[in-house]
Amino acid sequence: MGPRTRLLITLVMVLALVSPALRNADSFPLSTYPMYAGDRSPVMSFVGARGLTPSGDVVRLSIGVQAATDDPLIAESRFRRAKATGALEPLCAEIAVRARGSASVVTVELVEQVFDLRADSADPTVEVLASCEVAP
Amino acid sequence: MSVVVRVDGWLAPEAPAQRIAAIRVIVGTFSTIYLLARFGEFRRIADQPATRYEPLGVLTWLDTPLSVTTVTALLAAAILSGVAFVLGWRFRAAGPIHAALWLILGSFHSSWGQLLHFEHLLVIHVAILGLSPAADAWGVDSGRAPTPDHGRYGFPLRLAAIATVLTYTLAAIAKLRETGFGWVTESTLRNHIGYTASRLRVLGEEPAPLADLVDWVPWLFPWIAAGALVLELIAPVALVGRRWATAWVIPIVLMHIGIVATMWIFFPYQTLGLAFLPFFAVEKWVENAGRAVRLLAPRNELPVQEA
Repeated sequence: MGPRTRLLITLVMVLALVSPALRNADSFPLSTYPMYAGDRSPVMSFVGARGLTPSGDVVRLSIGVQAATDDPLIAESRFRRAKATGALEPLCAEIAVRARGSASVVTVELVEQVFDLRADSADPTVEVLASCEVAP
Repeated sequence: MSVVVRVDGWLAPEAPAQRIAAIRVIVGTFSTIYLLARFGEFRRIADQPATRYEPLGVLTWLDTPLSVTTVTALLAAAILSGVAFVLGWRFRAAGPIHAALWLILGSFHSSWGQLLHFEHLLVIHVAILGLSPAADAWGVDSGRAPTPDHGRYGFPLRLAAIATVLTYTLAAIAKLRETGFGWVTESTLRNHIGYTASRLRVLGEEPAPLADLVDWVPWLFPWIAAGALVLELIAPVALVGRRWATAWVIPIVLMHIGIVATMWIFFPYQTLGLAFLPFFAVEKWVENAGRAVRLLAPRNELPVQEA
């Protein structure tokens, strides 16, 4: 391989790596690397699942039970998408099947929690979006 | 001397075959262990309803997701080719095959509505190494004769180093494009840390150990944000020479450790320092480590019989 070929290969690689930034289009494995780049409001909402016992006590469900993954990014996108497409009921039923092994959980609720980082209290406001029974 | 020849002298510095071989072994080992560790996760992802599938990367043309069986077969092939990659066995085939399988699997991993940026640079480095003569030394098929230093071993490492610094510069450009200098002067970084902590709480996990720093020392965060942005912007200085590389890599690795400590976001390839190996004479570290092991190992010498 001669000097000109090496220079050409380098230029092609550099152009390929910066092309997503020129087109503002993120993909794989060429990326704009936009992690944490965007503005982030101090008020933020998340959809997630929680369990309820027969007496109505709230039980935390693990990320594996909630979203069948150990990756918070994938879990978050799954809930966000279910809310956006109106597919919360089937998702709730799916989680209820996984929650069968969780001790004392009889109901699964999909809830939207709103956090305000400027507020004195760290507790979020909670709205129930869907609810389903866990089969015994 | 023409410009092309002078540029080529920098692009393809003479390097020992052992340097790229050492990086092949280390990166290949990481790549293979990563695939093994994520085996279950890749299969779980493949088992999702097809309605969640948003193909990208090399799978953009594929309308329906790969089946669990196909993903399992691809994972198995990627792990086996990864072992061959590390061993330097049939490397001319194993290198490109391992890279191609990673391209497919990495694209698949990010094709479910959320791009995951943990694997991009690893795959780019695997592709560069896989297409280079990285198994001329320290491989089962390597010849016994000593290989002279040559630009063909320095060139792929230079490409890998350029790829590393570009990812950071692009990340800085993305911040400036999306948020401008507000990324430093506003509370953007604090809010990102608060966001990841709240998300983990909702998902039944504990936030990162230093997530509460945003409440304890809020005044510190514009300084941290400024430092991170400058470090990313000036990444190309690492290409100037080994001292510059060291001076840039140490704070960048500390930045990644800080990201883990405040957000539980672990970029393994970067945080473990593997992304920065192409800047250094890694073969000397390996040889020194081998020497140290030999010195520390108990000696089983036969007693000398006296006449």
